[in-house]
Parts: sequence; structure tokens; C-alpha cells
Amino acid sequence: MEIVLDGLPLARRLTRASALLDITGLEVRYGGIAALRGVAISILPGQGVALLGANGAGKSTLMKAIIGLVRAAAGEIRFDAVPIGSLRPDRRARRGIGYCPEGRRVFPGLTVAENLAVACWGDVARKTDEMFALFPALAARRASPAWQLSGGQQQMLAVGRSLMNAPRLLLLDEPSLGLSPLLTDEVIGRVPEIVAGGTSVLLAEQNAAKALSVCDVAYVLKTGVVTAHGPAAALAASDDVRAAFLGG
Amino acid sequence: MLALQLLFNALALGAAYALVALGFVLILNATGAVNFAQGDLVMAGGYGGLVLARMLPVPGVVLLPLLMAGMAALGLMVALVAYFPLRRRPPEAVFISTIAIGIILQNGTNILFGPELARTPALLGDGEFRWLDGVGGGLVVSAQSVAIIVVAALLIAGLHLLFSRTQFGRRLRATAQDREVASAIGIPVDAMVAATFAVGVALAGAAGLLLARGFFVTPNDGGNYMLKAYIAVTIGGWGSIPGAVAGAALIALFEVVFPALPALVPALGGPAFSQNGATIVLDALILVILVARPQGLFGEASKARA
Amino acid sequence: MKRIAACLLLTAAASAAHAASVTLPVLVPLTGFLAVEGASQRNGAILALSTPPAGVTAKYDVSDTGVSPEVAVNALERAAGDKPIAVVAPMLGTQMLAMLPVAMEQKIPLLTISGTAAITRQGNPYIFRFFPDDATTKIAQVRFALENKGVKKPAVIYQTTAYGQSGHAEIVNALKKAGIVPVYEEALDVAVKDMAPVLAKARAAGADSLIVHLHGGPSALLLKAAAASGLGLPIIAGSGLSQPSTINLLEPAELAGVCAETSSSPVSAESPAMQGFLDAYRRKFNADPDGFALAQYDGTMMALEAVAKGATTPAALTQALSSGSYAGLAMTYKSNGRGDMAHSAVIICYDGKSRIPKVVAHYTNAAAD
Repeated sequence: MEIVLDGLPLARRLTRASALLDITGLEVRYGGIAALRGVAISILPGQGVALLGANGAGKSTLMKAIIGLVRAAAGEIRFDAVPIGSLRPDRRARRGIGYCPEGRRVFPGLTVAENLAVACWGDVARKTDEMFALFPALAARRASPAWQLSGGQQQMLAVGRSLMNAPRLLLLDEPSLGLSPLLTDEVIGRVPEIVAGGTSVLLAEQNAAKALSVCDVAYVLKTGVVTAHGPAAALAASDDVRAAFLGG
Repeated sequence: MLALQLLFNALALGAAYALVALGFVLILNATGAVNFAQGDLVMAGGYGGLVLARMLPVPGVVLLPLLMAGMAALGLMVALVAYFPLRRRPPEAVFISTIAIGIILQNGTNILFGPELARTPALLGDGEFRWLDGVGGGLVVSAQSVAIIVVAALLIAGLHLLFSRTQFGRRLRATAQDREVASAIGIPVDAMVAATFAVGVALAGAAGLLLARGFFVTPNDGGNYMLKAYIAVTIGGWGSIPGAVAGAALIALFEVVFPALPALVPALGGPAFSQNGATIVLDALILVILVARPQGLFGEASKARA
Repeated sequence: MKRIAACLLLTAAASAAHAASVTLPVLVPLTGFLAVEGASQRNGAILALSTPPAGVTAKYDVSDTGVSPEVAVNALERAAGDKPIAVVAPMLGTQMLAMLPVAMEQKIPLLTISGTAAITRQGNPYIFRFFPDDATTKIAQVRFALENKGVKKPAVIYQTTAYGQSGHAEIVNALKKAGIVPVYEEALDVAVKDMAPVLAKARAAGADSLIVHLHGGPSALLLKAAAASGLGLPIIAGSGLSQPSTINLLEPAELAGVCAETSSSPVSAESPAMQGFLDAYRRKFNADPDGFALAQYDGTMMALEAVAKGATTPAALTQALSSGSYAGLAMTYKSNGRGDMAHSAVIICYDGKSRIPKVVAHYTNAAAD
């Protein structure tokens, strides 16, 4: 028997109450076109969540809606049970959401160390050392302007930057884009470490196999709608997902 | 001796122009919009110095921090009135609104102070040092010129420290380079943009106080300073801070040293070295720079971004 | 003031029968690059209009014509609706050229102090210019340089503006008539800040003097630079230097030995009547008058005196101005048949101790045709 309270099943209510991020009925429109429709996602503390979907499925839009770079036409976004849909991006970031944008977008004229420092509101020196421990390749380039870094180093820097304020939720948007398989491993391979440190991760990836291998749960987006979600292992085994993303 | 004198004059003029160009480029970087009121804000700084001097009979160097604080407040007002309401419109909207601010400043100073030439108090005093009188006219170094160079150098050094050593300054730069990402990593970009207007306009005001002693000020002076800033930033690299300083120095050299070359080297002469010729040569040089190096002399960062 | 008062009494007695109320709008540039001179023009006109000859009441509105011809034409067309007896018209030549056809159509006399030669060469009977043209003032400047300063190898420094070009042509022309060619010439943009290069080149060219035709601000910058570098050459400047507000920015020592041409020098108060004008002007405007203010005062007064004598329609006033002669404070005004009323200029010199110049020479352009 299902217990229903205030129109919601109790099990769902419990999830909502304990969820770090809880999105319901999210709709985002670009002009007249709906980029996301009725999206519902829940992320628990310490959970690694993969967001799968083809190019144009709405993964980046969902990331931007969570951090606040695009406005939701409908629906609710709760972080720590508090609605954040009307807050500016910087307010959301300061509440504990780290954002690593698609295409890296490091600050080109700032040095590596400066790129890290601007994103930190705590002990800059300590957090910078942590990032250099996580990505040793960056330590050697700490004084170089970011535009001089290789693509892989820039991606590490972008991830590091999004971790500088010790977020409880990290939004990683396509970190493997344009990277060699080796570098992709180097970057995405850090996700379990980050999750183990207590930060939940929402990882948007076209490389589904890689994403599923480092996450606990996955959602599949297709033309702006969540078409499947469940434990990563189960989705990896699902025929639909295999057909769509894993090349058979 | 004449060469030394001219180089010194160029240095003093270039130092003041550099402050004008820096204020311009800071706002350009933070907003992506050209602030066409920058020249008129320099002019307003001159009159601001005049008003302060009437209230407080102290040397200009004491008035400078007060003036800069007042101009910073004016910068916030410019941001609130001319930038924030229009920031989601095409950049042309901000061009027009800053032009409007310039016209308001021009007419406002005309009503308040009249159209006559005015001048601000000296930074330290009106003394001058003379060396080697009789040797090719000697070298005359006015206290005002020395003070301009020192004050401008301190302001530029202070700006450099602000931008490289403080979180606030680094975040201003981050905001200028990618506003969307800056806000997504927690930087309150609107406050940063407003602060940039405050700093940029404070620099314009400082330049106004420095320039309006030796070169006077009238309500119509803004257009000329605007042109200097624009040229300096174009030469140095659209958005480059060291480039703006170098561009300002180059303009001053072309105004002061280049047209005097025939007096230094008798073999040189002809229309190219007239005062107007020098302007034409500088303009031609700008064209060459734009064709050969479109990013300007110091435009590396922006090149990497493109 | 005494003489003005005496004049008022006399005219009151003579013209009691012609009590008249006239409208005489003041259209002058109060913003833009001619704002300083335009304010002088306005003040001169207002001082005359507010102290008209007995029996005459003058109504006037002041309009800013800025710097564009369109604004000036619109202002004149608006003013025409009030049936004015005449209009004080802007000193900016391009505005005057645009307004002339309108004045012709509306049959309104224009009282101006524009120096642009062309405005009285249009065959328009409604233009009256109370300021000496460039030929008159520049001939005075060159004659003084040659006759009093013994100049043989002058450097000529002028502005790139229309004002500067026109004056430069007259200077070179007048020098040529005396068989002298400048050893150095340079045209300066109004934005030029550092005058050191120009002075260095003049010195290198072996100049024995500077004949200067610059606007007020650049003139002041040039004198400052000349004093700082110890140039030590005679400087004969143009009327740009005669602006009292400009002179106030220079130290008396920086003015030592400097002379300049101008239409008149009210601050020098050569006569008691001039002293009266100076006092009245200072009381009313809390500023010192320049040659423009006095010229416009004289011109407006000539028109008001004609009204007092019965010229109470625009047609009658036009007739009176084109045929009459008037002893103003600066000089005697009489039309040459084209509406040029002023034919004299003065040379003023500074002694290095005071900012008040002495009038050292008067020149009347005998060739005024």
C-alpha cells in the first residue's frame, strides 16, 4: 500500500526532503521552442549522477537552468530544500553549486592560480594546494596565463575552478569535449574521487560508457524530456540505452 | 637639451592621457560597451577639481583623493543610469546613452561654470626647476609636470596592484573576460561592473585635475579627450591595459616630439612634420597597425580568445 | 556712465514725441565652441536693450542658436512671428549665411558682429555688421608689427579653423604688400596642447617675432609655453587673446611685452564714457567686457537711437542704419554701402605687471570700400 501525503507518495516525499537537488516540472524555452519539458531530477548528497543524451538533447540547458544562466519558464528547482529558481547565478554558486561550463571557458588573461583564486571565498592558499594535488599537471603552470594551456590542462583548470568554493553539488558539462581518450580518462576519472570527498556530481556526457562507469545513477534526456532514469549499472545494461549511446 | 625638454613634456602629457585611456579601457572590458562619455568625464573632473578648490584652499594633491572619491560616485551613477537599464539591449544602446551622458555633462558644466576657460589648482605648486640655462634653451621642469608624472605613475602602479594582488581586482578582470562564467562561479557581476565604472570614472577625474592646470578646461573639451582614449586603445590593443598606456605614450610623442623633429634635425622638414602632418602620420600609422596587427600592439589575450 | 546718462537726457528731450515700444530678439550662440564670445555678444545686446534711449521701450527674448545653421534659421523664423523691428543675430558666419535669405523674405534687419567677410557680400540690404572684418584687424596687426616692432622675419602661427584660415590669408597678404615672407608658418588644431614644438621650430627657423592668430585657449597656451621656454621674441597676437577670461588664466609676467589686435578694449577704459560702460557691464554681469560685447552694445544702441528718432518700422530702421552715422563708444559706425559698419581696430599691449592692457595704437582701414 502506498501512503500518500499532500498529493505525493510518501517515498517520493522522503526523497525530496533528503535530496540535495530536486527539480520538478522544469520547462525552459528559447524563443517559442521548448528546450526542456517536464524535467524531474533528484540528486542525493554524495551521489554521482550521469546525464546522458545526444547533442542538442538539452543537457547543457539543464545545467544552465540549475546554475541560473537560463530562466525556467515553469517548474521548481530546490537546493537543500530551498527554492533557488529566482536567485541570480552568483547567489546559487555561493550556496554550494559549482559549475564547470561546456567548452571550459577559463579566464584567458588570468593565470592558472588566479583562475582558481577568483572562485574561492575561503582559504585560497589551502584550496589552491588541494586543486594542485588533484591535478598535478596544473601546479607546474600556476603562473602561466590560462590561454597558454593545452586543452586538457584548461579542462582540469575549469574543473578545479568549479571546486574552489567547496561546492556540495558540482555541475560538470561535457568535460571530455575535444579531449583525447587519455585526457578524458584523466579528467572524468577524478569524478569518483570528488564524490568520495562528499561533493555530489551531475556529469553531462555524450560519452555514455565513460559517464556510467563513474556514476551511481543516470538520467537520459531526449529532445528535452527525461526518457529513462535509474541506477547506472541498470542503464548500462539496458538495451535502449545501449542502442542509443553505447554503439549497440 | 631641446630633445630632453620635449621628451619630458611628452612624458607628462602621455602620463595624463594614459589615465584617460585606462579609465576607458576598464569600462570597455567590463561591459563590452564603449563609454562615449569618458572624455566629458575627464572634463567634469577638471571642473570637480575647481569646485573642491573653491571649498578647500589646499594644494591639488590633497584634493585628488577627494575628487576621485566624488568621481567614483559619479561613475556609479553613470552605470545606474546609462548602463544597467540597457545592458540586455544591443551595444549601440549603451553608445547612445553614454553619448547622452556626455551631452548632459557638457551642457551642465556650461550652465554651472560658463563657457570660459578655467583651470584647476596646481598639484603641489607653480615652481619650476631650470637647468643649464643658456645651453640650447636650457631644461625647464615645472613642479606641475613632475607631479603629473609621479601621480599618474602611482595611480597606474596602484591599479596594477589592485588587479594582480587583490581578490577584488582579479574578480574585476574575470568579470571583464567572461561575465557569464564569472557569475556562475559566484562573482556578483553587476556589483563588479558598477565598481569598474567607479574606478574608470575616478581615473578620468584624476586625469581631468592633472590636465586642467597646464592646459585649462572648458565644457567643450570632452570630445578631444575621448578621441585620445579611443586612439590609444586602438593602437595598444582593444581591451589591453598595458596597450592603453603604450598607446597614450605614443600619442603624446606624436603631439610633442615628432612635430619638433625639424628643430632637432635640420635635415628633416616638410609638411609631414607640421603639427597637422604629425596627426596625419599618426593616423596612417594606426591604419598600418590595424592592417598588420589587428589586435593592436598588446592584444595577445584577446587574440587567444578569438 | 556720465556720458551715457547725458545722452539719455538729451535724447529724452529730443525724442519725447517718438515714444515707441519695439521688439528686438537676441539670437546668439550660447553653447558650443563660440559660447564664450556668444555670451559677450548677448551681454552687450542686453545692456543696450535694458538701458534704451528715453521714450523707447525694448522687449527682447534671448535664444541660444548653438552652432548649427538650422537652429539659427528656426530661431529667426520663430522670432519673425513677434514682428521684431530688428534681430541681434549670431556672430557665427555659417549661421548668418543661412539666416540672410530669411531676413530678406521677412524684411528684418540683422544686427551682428560676425567677422566672416562673405556675409556682407550677398547683396542683402538687411545685414549690418558692427565688427571690423578680418582685413581691417589683420592689417592693423601687421602694420603694428612692421612699424612699431620692426619685424623683418616673422613666424605666423594660426588656427586650422575657418577663423584661423581667413585671418592667416589676410596676414600673409598684408606682409606680402610690405615685401615680407614669413620664415615659418604653422596651422594648429584647436586641440593642440603642448606648444613647445611650434616654438622650437619658429626659433630654429630664425624668426624675429611671432604673429599669432589663434583662439583664446590656444593663445594662452602659446604665451605660457613662450614664457616658460624664455623665448624672448615679440609676440603680436590676434583678438583671441583679448578675452578677459582668457587673460585671467595667465600671470601678468607671462604677458610681458605681448601685444594683440582687437576691435576695442573696454577694460582699458580709454575715455570716461568707456569707463561708464565698463562699470555698468561689471555691475550687471559680474564679468569684464570684451570687444565683442562693446561692438554689439554699440550696434544695438545705434538701432535704438534710430528708433528714438522715429525709425519705428523695420523698413525705416533699415534705411536709417544704411544711411546714418553713429558715434559709438568704440568707434564711429557708418555703412560702406554693404552693411559693414565698423572700420577701425586697436592694438593693445601688456606691461607685465597688470592684466589690463594699454591701447597703444588705433588703425582705421582707409581702404574700406
